[in-house]
Amino acid sequence: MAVPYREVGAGSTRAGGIEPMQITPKRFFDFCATHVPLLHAIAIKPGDISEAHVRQLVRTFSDTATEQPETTWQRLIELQVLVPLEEGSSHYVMSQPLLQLFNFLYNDALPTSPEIIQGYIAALESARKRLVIGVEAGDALSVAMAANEVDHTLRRMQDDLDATHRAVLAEVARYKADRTSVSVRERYLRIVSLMDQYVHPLVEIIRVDGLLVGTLDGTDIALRAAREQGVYVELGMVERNERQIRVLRRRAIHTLNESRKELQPLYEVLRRSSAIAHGATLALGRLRQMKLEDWVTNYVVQADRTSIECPPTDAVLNRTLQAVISHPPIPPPILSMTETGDTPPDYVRLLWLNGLSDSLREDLPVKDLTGWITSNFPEKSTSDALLGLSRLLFDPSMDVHFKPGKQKEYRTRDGVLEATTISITKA
Amino acid sequence: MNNLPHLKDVFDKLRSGAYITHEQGGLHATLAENYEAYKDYFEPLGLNLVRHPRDFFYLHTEAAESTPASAALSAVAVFSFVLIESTANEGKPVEEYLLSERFSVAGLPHLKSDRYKSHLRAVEIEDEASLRKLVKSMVRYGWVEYFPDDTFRFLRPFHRVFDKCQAISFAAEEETRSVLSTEPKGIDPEMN
Repeated sequence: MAVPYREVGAGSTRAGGIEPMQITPKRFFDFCATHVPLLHAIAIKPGDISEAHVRQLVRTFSDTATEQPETTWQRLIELQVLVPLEEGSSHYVMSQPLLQLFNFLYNDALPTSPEIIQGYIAALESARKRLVIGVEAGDALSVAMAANEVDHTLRRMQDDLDATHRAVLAEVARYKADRTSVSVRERYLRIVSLMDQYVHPLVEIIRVDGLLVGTLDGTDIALRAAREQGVYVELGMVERNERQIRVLRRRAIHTLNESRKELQPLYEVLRRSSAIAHGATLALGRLRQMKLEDWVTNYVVQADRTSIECPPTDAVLNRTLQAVISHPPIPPPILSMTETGDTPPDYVRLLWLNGLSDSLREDLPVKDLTGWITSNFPEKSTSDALLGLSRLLFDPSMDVHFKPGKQKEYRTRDGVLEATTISITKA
Repeated sequence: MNNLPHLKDVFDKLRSGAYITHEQGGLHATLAENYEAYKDYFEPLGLNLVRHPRDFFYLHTEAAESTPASAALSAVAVFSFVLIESTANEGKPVEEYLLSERFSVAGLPHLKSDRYKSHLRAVEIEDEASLRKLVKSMVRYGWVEYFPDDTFRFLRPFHRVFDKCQAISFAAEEETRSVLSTEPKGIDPEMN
């Protein structure tokens, strides 16, 4: 995260005629450390804030015995804690890097929209194309720049997904801590908008066969080509990119699933609560517009305790007799009395998949995961071996490492798998 | 099939129009364990034994379905809808709050707002005394338990009112959707 650190040019006079001066990190952080309540009060104000309002906050939050309000105001401008909305404006906003720092420190975050994530994916795709072209042309500089952009984009994407998760957790915590300040309808809309506008669409993008994974795979291949063809000598960056891609694949899905798990119960409860309240309001509203008899027919629960005097009634007896008369007897079903002992193959596969992690855990660390599966379960088909492999690769309790090098062949019951070596250890 | 446990007690209770809830202890446990068997037993008699998702039982008859609800129930409905709306407006979780709290008639929101008062006047509830009488009448429906200290609580079968509200809301949303999604009709040459 960048903190303002630059020299303000001689011509860039700020509001109030303050002399431009160099901002040093120490000065900046010293000021912040002694004005935390004031800065937090400014940070939580939505939108811009007028000079008069800032001055009022300064008087409320600053200790006038140690620093005059005017001095505090000047420091806010000098240190670029506040920047004018536009040149000469008397309305200010907190500088973006500082705002981000506050969000981080107060564990506050805004959810990331699917459009932003799609933007990152587009940026990754663009960088991937430049990587491919750079590799083909042997242009190390283009490859370096594209790899750098991949690094930057992956970091931002992960940060934003984490921010979405934090925003979800904060909203859930807010709901649980304060259940009386806003109406059911409003809380429902807040939870629903988080779920419907952020979490669900993001899951769609990030799921295994979604847009993100395809782009990550493509980028991974392009980076591998850059490394293997020796176009780019700084292997650290390429390896870091590859590492980030692996982490993002696993963490993105995990983070969003966790968000969904947090929201789902509230979503269900609030959806019903909101519908109940809506139905009651609607029924009351119609009371004035309809004749009472019609209203009763449409909006009242049939709850009269009508006792049953003499069952069965004639109607029931008639219906039963008709059913007997009009239907020929149906022979009883023939039950097979012999047990075959065959267990459905899908069930056997499910049991095997469920127990696979435990079996592997006894042998950890395993240097060659594909080899471990094919040698321990030679009776399994290629598709079963791949299923098992996917289950273990996405197991959050384990760490997977894809070793570079030539692809090896692994024999299964009905075919051959080709893969590079995958090692696995406990997470 | 007539070897079902407590069959007579279960039938006597249900045929009088009562609900069987957890409060009935043994009868409820018997019904919960043998629900399908009881349901099959009552079906040929034209009686539909309903197990509500909130785990209480009642009998439903086709005759009751075709009979309009009594006018007395309109006041009960207005009373319930006002209480639900007021609870939701205060930000409280409707079901959890209404089914876990004890209420006093004097503390109810019904006579504290002109809008609510006008709704109640439409069903001839004008003051606290008639409101109290109305709440006491809900005991008969198995929705309320009234205590000697002039307080009351809602019982589990009150969920049927919540269900009704939800159904009203869903029906209205469905209606709105159908209006909004009306496909453009083709040009009718006859109209020219």
